[in-house]
Amino acid sequence: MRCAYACGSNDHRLARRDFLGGLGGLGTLAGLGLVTGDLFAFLRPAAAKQMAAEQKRVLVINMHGGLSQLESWDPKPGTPTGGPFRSIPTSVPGTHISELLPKTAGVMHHLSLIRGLNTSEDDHGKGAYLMLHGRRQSPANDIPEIGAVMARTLESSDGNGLPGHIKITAGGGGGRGNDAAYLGPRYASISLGNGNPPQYATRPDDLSAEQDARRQNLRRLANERFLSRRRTAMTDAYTYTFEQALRLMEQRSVFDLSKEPEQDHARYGAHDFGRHCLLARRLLENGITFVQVSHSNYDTHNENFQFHLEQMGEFDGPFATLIQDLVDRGLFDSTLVIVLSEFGRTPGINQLYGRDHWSKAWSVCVGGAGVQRGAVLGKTNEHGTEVIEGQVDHGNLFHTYLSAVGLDSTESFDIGGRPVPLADPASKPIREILA
Amino acid sequence: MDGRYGRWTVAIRAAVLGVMGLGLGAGRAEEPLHIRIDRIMDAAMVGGPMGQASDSEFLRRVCLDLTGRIPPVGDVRAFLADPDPEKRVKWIDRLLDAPEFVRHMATSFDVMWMERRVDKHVPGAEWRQYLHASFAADKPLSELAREILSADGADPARRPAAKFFLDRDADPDLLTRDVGRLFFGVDLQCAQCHDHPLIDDYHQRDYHGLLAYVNRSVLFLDPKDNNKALLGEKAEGETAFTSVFTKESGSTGPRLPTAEEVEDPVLAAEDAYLVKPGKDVRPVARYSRRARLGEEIARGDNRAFNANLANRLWALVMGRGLVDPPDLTHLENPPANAILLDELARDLASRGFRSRAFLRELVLTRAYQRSLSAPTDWRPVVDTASAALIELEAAYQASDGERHAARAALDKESARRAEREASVATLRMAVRRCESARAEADRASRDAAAAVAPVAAELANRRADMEAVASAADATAKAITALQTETELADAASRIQAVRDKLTAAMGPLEARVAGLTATRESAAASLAAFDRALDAARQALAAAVAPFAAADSACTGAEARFRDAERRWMVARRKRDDAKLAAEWKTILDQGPGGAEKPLFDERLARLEERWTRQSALAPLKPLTPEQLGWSILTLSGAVDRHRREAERERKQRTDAPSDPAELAREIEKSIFAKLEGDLAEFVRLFGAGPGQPQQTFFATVDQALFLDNGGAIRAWLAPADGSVTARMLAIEDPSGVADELYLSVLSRAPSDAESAAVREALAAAPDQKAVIVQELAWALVASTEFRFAP
Repeated sequence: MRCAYACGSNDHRLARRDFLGGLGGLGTLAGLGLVTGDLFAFLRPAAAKQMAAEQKRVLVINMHGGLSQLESWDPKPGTPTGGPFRSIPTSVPGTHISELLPKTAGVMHHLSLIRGLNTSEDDHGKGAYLMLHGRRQSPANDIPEIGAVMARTLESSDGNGLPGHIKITAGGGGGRGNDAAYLGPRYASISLGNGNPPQYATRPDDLSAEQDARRQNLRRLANERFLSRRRTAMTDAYTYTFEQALRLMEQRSVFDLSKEPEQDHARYGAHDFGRHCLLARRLLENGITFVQVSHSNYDTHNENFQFHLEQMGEFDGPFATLIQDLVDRGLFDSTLVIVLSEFGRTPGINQLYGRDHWSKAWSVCVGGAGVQRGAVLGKTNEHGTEVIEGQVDHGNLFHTYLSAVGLDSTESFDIGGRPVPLADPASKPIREILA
Repeated sequence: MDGRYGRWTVAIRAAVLGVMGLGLGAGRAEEPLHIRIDRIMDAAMVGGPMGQASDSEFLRRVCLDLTGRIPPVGDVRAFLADPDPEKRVKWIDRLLDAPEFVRHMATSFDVMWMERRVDKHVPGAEWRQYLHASFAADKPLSELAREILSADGADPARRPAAKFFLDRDADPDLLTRDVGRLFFGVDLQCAQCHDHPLIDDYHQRDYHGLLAYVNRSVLFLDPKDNNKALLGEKAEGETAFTSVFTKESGSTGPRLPTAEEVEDPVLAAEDAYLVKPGKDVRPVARYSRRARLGEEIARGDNRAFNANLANRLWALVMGRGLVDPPDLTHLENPPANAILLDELARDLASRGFRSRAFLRELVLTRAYQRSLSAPTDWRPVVDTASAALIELEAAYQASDGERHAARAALDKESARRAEREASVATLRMAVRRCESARAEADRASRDAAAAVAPVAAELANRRADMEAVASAADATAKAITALQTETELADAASRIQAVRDKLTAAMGPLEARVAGLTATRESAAASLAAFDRALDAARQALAAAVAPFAAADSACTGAEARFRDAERRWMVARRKRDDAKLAAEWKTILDQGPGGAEKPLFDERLARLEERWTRQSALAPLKPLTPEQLGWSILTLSGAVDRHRREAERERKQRTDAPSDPAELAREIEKSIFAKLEGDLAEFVRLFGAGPGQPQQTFFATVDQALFLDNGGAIRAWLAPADGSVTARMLAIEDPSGVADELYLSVLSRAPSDAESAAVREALAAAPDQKAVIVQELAWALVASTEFRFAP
């Protein structure tokens, strides 16, 4: 039984100093994660301050159900496990990927592949958990998802009024997710269904802008009077959210996909995934820190090849377009892109022409901020049944993501006086893939 | 200090502690707790309190803290108009008798213990009903805790109590963490794999001691009853651990924080189970460690349990625990006032863990009724405090000396105790040796007796034979003498003689054997008697040594108590000294003028100063409303609470079976209102509540909360001028000053200042034809203001 909290003794010593230093009386305020100027800036990890210099963003594309590495990033054509599809050359000499991704092949020189992934977890829920949290699930130890970690650590100090952690979902939208654990609801995801703005972001019809402005002024006046009696970090945080809300309402068009030009809609495609990628581009361009897009359904226990033909076909165009757009618009170097899944699929093909769950040897695709271009790390054997070179796991990936956006992945959060490591202290980044 | 006591002396210690605890509790009962609290608080203050809350500030605060909502405007007017100088006490008692108090307690403890986890095995409604019934009956909190920690969910009547364990899937690590945090105020999570790297007081042994109470419990899904979840418990499973750092390992039986390890009863393997484990069978151990956990708590002498409970009740009304966060009790995170926390814990135990009476005392204190206004001029406070620095430094040094002396005395007593314990142990060993030697002699003696018996019996048989033969021979001899010529008879006589001779010859050795065995038996008996005497002597020696040991033990307990007292005084002295130091720093800043320091530094130090004086209870803390308090307050403003009350009252009047007891009627009406409006709270909980399983007392502010207040349809509807809402009442008032009064008394429970009243009049005058719109804007602005969000 490992303790997932703290095991690197050096960290402990460092954190102890911070911890004792924080006990001067402000320890309990540290958990507020305030962005009210410099007042409490000293309580945040030092690295976060460095980050303010260059705003970084993260895009995660989550391939729900378990993307087949053999029909995507690590094809084995002509072998008993390879299936019917060929592999094709990419824009990186010597690197081949599945013929199902022709457009992606054209942007491979921007991306890198990690082909030596072994996560030893074949359960959908647990696999998805460890890929998004960088650690195994443990009931006694609730930890934040990657989006919450990024939203907190990459938060710009000026604050643009927009939420930092967004998940684009197929429908509905607006609600706050439960994925920030000890970082608090401030960093929990806001889900957006198909370009619906966040919940309650629209002023009621019977309330004119003029009336709203008037009542907001009355509210500010009331606050002024009260804050002259007592003003604390909590009151600052609370009043700030109202100003944030007003800015968000002004910027509601950030979530409005119809504001994107017609030809871009055409380039990305009319289907959900295409529109979600376009929305992701719009959000990232508008300074939102973390965006997660999902694509389903990859759980192909039968008709693996038919399904991947369709799904990869849908994925390929919008994804390659998005990568190229981020590059063209100068955003790619500051945006970490991750294409992940909960696990890969079995090299063995079952009786129903399907592939089952397989976490022993699979791949993820990364690119953008802090990551090498056109690299391939790790190798599976001839039939793709085992990693034979450069084996890594979810813990290494999580450290790598944090390092790629310029954070020291061995740092700790200060949670109400408790130092809590950003990533599993027993793991470390994949240095070879970092730029 | 935990290894200091041998396991077998635990019973003696428990008895001694129990007696002491009761004695101390009873001895201090002469003065009401609220007086004692204020005395302890005043003594710990540097620079004096900042002023007391006004009547309106007090009423709003006490209503939110005891009934979970702002006071209805009628109550505000009535309270402010009440000339009774004792009206605060009167209203406190009134609020404590209100059914809303029970509801608020049930909600607060639900949120505290379940932390808004999503329902899993036990429906939340049943659990909350169980808590509600418990608080309605003013059940001792120790008893409530015992029920929750020992229920297995099998008894339908007590099933809701099992939610704490069942809804955590009986996961032993999660339970250890949550039982530690929520019932003992220690978060031992990091001590799972090694002694805590940051907290010297948290040891791996503590974690595993607590784990031992819960790790035999298993979640059982009953296949015969729709996979209904129940708790089973195994009779085996020990906790052993190895540090991931030092590789040191150990093992421990069940042990609560700050207590001794308990000894499990020894049961034969065949007696270990009431129901043996098996496929599709819920194991039930004869001895339940979980039940033992409940018993250990309910006894009421566990320091950590009592302090945690007192601290959490304090936090419930005072806004923040003396230990904060409440689950991080340790030396480096000292309580705001260690002496007070000790007093509260002791008092709570001595009043039988009755929360209602305890909370009554807390809200009666002057410390509770402090004003929240920070001083506009800190100079007098800072001057007084920094002037006292030298004195406080000296007092701190003195307390440090006393603490060291107490520590040394404790070490000395502890050594003496150990010495006596060793001698008792030696004597105890001697008794054991005598006992086994005596048992050996006893066995030998019984063996010897057993060996003699059959030989003696044989000898007796032979003697009987011999006598028979002898009498036959005598008879024959007489016959021969009479007849003389009968040669056959003479032959017979000689044959008899031969038999007789043979028998006589055989009897000799037999007699010798019996004699020998008898001698052995006698010597064994003699030796047994000697061992008996030795054993008696050893027992007497042990008995003689136990008394001095008990004396040393109680001396040690006394020394420990004195050390703890000294330590608490030292903590308070240190805090006072540090506060004075900060004041001295601040004096320099003030002397330099506002431009003397950079603005952020100035603000940071001001925040720290204010925080310190709040921790001293010189200043009331700002208390953000819980989601439920916020929801009920807005529903109160909307008129919905009143409307449903009138409805329920009307309905009860028409019914013939309505209760005649007014208290009973009030409870029924509250239940009916709650049932109607409960659903409206969900959105407040979703937006203003922390995530499931996360500590719920941490404040946070998110943009979606502001958006909800800005644009939420429900908020718009509640503040619309209809159905007896605040805006409907404002709309019905002609006089603009009256409108202002109604607004402020309703929303903020206070009369408006002249400037505020003027601003309302101005707003109304600016758009005379839009009064309905303006009153909504005015009401919304106050609902969305910081004053509404943070209790006074």
